[in-house]
Amino acid sequence: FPPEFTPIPAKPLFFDIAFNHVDFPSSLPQRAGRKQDGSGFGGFFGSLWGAKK
Amino acid sequence: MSSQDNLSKEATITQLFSDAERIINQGEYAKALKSIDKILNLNPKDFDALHCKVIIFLKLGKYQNALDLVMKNFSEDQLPLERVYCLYRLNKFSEGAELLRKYRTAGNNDSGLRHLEAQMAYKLEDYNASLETYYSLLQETDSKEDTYNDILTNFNAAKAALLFSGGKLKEKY
Repeated sequence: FPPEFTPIPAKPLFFDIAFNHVDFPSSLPQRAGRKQDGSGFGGFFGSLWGAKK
Repeated sequence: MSSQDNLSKEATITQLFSDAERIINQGEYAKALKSIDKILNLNPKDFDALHCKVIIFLKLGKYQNALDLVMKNFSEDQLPLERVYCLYRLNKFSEGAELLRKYRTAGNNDSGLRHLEAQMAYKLEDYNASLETYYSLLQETDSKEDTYNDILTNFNAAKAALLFSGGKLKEKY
């Protein structure tokens, strides 16, 4: 004691990138009663959240 | 139902979508679900609301609920990414792969679907197939884009897994 350290294979990092492509319908702003013109407050925050135009 | 009632129902639905959108932007998915369910009480066939509900289930990790909802309300050519993603998370890889093949044959070349294809191949330990997909995704992605490094990470993970399982890397990788 203490036991010796022995190397073990590391599990490589692997991202779930496909999940980033799962997104709410692009019609949501219109259904919420906002004009989707890509400008102004909503457009700015929309792009912050990574919304695709 | 009178046209007056219809009008107020529409206004209520718009208000509920507005509430849902705001709560979604705050990341409070379980709360947003309540607004969406109210919409669906008023109109069970509101496809935007159904779509939102599917995405909320996915964000909450409720993959079986999401899949049930998709199967019940959408035709097979609708929400392809969400459909295959559910199967992937539920470890139904053969069903997922079969659907992917169908979409591919129908000409759907969406990058989200290709990521799923690569991720499923990785899970199934078909590292060569995974590498091939990531290789082509890397070629098509600008190295300045945020996602480039994510793809590179998965590409390298597939490489390491292939070598660790005793496989041989192709020259071009």
